[in-house]
Amino acid sequence: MSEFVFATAQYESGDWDSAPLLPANVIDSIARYTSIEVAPTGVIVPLSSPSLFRYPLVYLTGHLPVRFSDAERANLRQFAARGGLLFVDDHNHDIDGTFHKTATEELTRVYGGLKPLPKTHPLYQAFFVFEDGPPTTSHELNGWGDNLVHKTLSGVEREGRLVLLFSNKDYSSEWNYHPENKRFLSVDNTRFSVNIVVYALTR
Amino acid sequence: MPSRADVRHAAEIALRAVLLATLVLALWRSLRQSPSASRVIAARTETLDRDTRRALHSSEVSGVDVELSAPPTAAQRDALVALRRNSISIHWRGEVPGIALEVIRRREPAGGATITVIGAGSAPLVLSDSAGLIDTVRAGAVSVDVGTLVGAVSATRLTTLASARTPKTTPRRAVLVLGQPDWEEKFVQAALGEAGWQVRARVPVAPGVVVRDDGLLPIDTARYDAVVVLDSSASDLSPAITRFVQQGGGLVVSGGALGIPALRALTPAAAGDRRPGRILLASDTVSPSDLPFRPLLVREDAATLERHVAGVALAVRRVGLGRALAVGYDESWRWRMLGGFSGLAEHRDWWSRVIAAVAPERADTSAAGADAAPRAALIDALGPPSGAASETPRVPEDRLPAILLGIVILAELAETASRRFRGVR
Amino acid sequence: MSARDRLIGLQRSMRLAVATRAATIGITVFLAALVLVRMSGAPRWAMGVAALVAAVATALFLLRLRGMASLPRVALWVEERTPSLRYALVTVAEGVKDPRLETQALSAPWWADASRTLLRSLVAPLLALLVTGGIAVWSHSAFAPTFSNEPTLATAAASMDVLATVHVAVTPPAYAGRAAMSTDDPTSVDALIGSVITVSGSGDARLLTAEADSSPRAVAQRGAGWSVSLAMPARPALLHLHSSAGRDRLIVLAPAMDAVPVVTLIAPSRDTIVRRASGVLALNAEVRDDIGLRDASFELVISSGGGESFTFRTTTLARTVFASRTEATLATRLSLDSLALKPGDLLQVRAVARDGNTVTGPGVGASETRSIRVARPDEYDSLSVEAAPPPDEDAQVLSQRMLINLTEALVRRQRQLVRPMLVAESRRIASDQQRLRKRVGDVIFQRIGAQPLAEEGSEESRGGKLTPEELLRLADSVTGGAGAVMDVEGDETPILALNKPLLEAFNAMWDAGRALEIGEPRNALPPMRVALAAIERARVAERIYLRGRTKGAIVDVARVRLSGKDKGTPPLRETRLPHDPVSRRRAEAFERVTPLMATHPDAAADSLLLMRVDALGDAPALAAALDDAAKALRKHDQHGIALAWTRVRRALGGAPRVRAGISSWSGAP
Repeated sequence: MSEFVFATAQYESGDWDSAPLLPANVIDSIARYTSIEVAPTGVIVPLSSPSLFRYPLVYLTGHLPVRFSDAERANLRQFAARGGLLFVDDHNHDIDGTFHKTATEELTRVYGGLKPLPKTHPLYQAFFVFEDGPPTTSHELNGWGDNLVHKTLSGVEREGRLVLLFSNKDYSSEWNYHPENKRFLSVDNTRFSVNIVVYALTR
Repeated sequence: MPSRADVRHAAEIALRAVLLATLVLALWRSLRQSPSASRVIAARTETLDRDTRRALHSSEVSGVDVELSAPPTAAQRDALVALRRNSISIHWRGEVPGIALEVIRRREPAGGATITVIGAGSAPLVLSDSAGLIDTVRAGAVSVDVGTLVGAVSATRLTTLASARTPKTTPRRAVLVLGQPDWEEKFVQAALGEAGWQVRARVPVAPGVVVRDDGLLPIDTARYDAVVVLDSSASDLSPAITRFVQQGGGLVVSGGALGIPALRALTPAAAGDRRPGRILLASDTVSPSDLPFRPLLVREDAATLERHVAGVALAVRRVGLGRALAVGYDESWRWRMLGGFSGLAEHRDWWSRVIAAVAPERADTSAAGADAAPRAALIDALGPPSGAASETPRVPEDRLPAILLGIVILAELAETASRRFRGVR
Repeated sequence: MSARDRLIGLQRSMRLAVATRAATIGITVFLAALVLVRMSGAPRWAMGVAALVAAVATALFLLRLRGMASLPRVALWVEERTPSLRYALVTVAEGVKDPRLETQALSAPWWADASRTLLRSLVAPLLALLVTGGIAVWSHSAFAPTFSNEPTLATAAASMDVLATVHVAVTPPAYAGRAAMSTDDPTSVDALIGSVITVSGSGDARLLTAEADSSPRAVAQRGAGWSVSLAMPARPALLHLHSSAGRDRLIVLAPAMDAVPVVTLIAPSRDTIVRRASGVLALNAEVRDDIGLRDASFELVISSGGGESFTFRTTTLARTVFASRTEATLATRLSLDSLALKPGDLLQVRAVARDGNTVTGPGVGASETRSIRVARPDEYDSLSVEAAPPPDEDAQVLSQRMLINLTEALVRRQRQLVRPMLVAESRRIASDQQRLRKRVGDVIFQRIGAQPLAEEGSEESRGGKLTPEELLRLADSVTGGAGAVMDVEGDETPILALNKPLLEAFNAMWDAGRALEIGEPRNALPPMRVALAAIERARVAERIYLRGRTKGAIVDVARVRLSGKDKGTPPLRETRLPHDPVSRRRAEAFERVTPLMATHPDAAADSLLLMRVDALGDAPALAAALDDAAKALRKHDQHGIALAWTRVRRALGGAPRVRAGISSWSGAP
């Protein structure tokens, strides 16, 4: 049985490493709540590299404009066709911002149009149940970025399975802390990451 | 000097005499006892229908000598068998190639069929169906995989040598995938779903927490065609799986599941030590030989389906009414993700074929058709071919009754017309 | 009337009766032959034979007229039936004029009998004609070809013309600048989206209906013919023409996509990092389009800032309008000074082009993006800038904030807790505060090359708080004298300036720790807040990067396994319906169409066109093969049909794979 390895996408155009503690936090959550075999550290995988296909779930974030090279675009197309899931989160939390605009433009070129996911999407019940859809982040509540609480995530599905999950809710900030600090929280705010991983592994 | 009327009258009398004589002759001929001398009909392929009818309706015939230039049809063969059962000896000889044709609908949901031709010899043989030409083969034994088949398949070399009906497709049942949450379980589900199998799964994610489809149990052949066990998480279902296979279901065991003690009695092989595979790069040419691999130690009553450089990769055996198949490859999902442009389809088709290899046969196997192996059917029905022609004198075709009937009709018409034109009724 | 006159009249009547009888028998024979030909399906020339037989029969019966050529023969015929005349009539017929003979000849009303006899002789042939005629009419309706909704001859003739020949004219959209084209009787029309397609033919438009994608289309009368106009849709569709005669014609509408422009950025050719953003940067791009370009420009995005705070500027350069050219070059020179880039700024450049598509909106093509980054001064000695972790201050901010939260929470619960419990909790926070202080100290002393603080337990040996003078002496001893003057505040030494906020935090944490150790969390809060403020100042004052790979964290999976308080409760999964392989669906459709190609080729052609519409999106080779097969069927080209059918089969299921030997898979025991 192959263990799950959390992969962060490295792309050429922006600050892909803006949330370096997020992988450890997500790995910690997977280990805390599930029996999934998980590697203790994450990996960084360039989008243009064939290595991308070793990690069928890849996380991508940043603040700066996203412009994929032709190689990255071609890789992502194949990645989606073969069943990989790309999770993109806007670290600016700003739908008027350059990351959001450029990322949606580039992702639309690769995947086609993004569609909002309804509250009843299987992602929100894959492990923990989130009846109201994606959980709100503290940054949203604090008026960070565009000062909006985004009610939905967006995505692209192929044959009933998500291949792209796009978030404006700034989970990158929400989850970018050392997992040791989880004990300070009354409610673990990383539980939704477990849903994403369990969904990717079981659908 | 007789007048014209007299001549005419005399002619009418003559015609009536001819008519009467013909009728008497026909009556005498039908009533006379024929001698007990044996007569044999010489038949050829082109006249076989007519000759068998003659033999059936003639009491003189004691045998039929058939010279075949092409295989007889099933109806002709049945007619000869019927004659034989009526104590008429049948001898046959001639060029009837020993060709056998079989058409098997592939059990994968994507359909398609495999045509097996045996005994084609070195001369080309044309395979075709209702939609036209399929291919030309030229070997002792060949298999031809086709994506679509329409109607019966025939093998032709100038004339039709063999034909077989294509069995109808039947709906498939679901496949149950049991495994822990990892990429192998995910992509086995994905591959089978994309290939058209209905997939149901049970994936234990945490103690007491299972991601599963509704109504998974019971595991029986009315609901499932096959069960795929990928690791030891399915140990609790071993008794149900054993029962399922004994009753005709299919079982595929892969990875860590090869070590489940309760399934060892079913599996066709034990697994050797795991060997790491080559990491696949984006490449168009990929083979499963690059995957991590557990060489299989095949049981005596099992058959090897695929062989790897490092050992046996696929083995299968019968268990009760069902089949169990062992997969030596590990992490086959890498073939899909890292197998280049063709890996996705190859991985999907391969898994679909694996399931099809163990899924219960539900097709209409009786649809093979008696012309699929004509020489074999002919020998089976009439015995082996004979050497020389029969010594018994032959009876030529009897055309006298038709001639007599013609004479009767013409004589009657002529006589009546003459009288009528004379004005006499 | 004299006997001779009556005889002459009878002769005429007899001739008429014989002729009628002969004609009736001849027609009866012909009709009987016609029925036999129809029922047996004999070829048409058999009708000629039947006509000949009928003519012979008629001629044979007409031969009897010879017997009526002379009057005496007629008189004899009467005498045979009326013996009482005693040959008086024959004598009169021979021309003997004798009143007694005349009287004798008229003694019996033989003329009435003769008339009745003649009429009776016509009954049988007429009956035969009636019966045979009835059978012929029945056989015509039973065996002649029938069609549903068979119209009258007039309307059938008229509406057969309506779809006899269909003419299609295609006018591309104006922006494409292409000439119109036309074709006759196509099975498929390929054209740009938005092209105007005009389908026309001769005949009455009222006899025709048209439908495209299940929407009815108006059929207009244009002079002596009909016409339907529509625009090429964005997705493949089917135009269905149906005449009132029951005839159908299908035409596939296959839209051709207007591709977006292809843009290649020639210069700058790669990403780069510069020390100073000055000078002129050459920008060069090549642009191509399949139909015609509208305009192109360079797009610049300048990102400034860092951490969680960024600003962005977007601008466009060198916009050029093209007069529908298909190839062009875009070039300009960019003054970097005009952008006022600062260290750390990122300039991203790409070329964007739009085509002249006015139907579905201009297609936009973009080149790859080149990045030009202005290095920070602290990167100058680096050969390559690797991924760097965020400065420790960030983690410290978070941790100090967390400690403050915990302490405030403890203060709120203080009244409910017994003293030992309060002290224990407070000391737990104290140990965290100490660990954090150690990390701050590591940063401070690392920067001055001194030894980091020892582990806990030997903190006292290091001394608690360091005064600025103590710190300076320590720094001096390490660096060997004052170094180069750096950016400092006032007259402070650079090391102090660099580390002063951190030093304040270091000392404030010491105070907070002492208060927490003795179980006085309330007293610890003020210095903790001072420490937090100091760390924030340190973070804003400079961005200090440590060299090396992105620092992550390693999770002790075994330790945390299943330690979470919450349990997942995923509901039952919905079983997904099996994916219907499109290949199987198409193969089944092909199997259904194949038997039709011999019996109903037009219906088979229509079915293939329906399949083509479905295949145009994802299987162009199959779509092309289906089109060829439909055309071959329409032309009744048997050779072409056989070839096309093989092509369709191979496009559907791939070429047959021949393997030597029996398949090992089917050989499973």
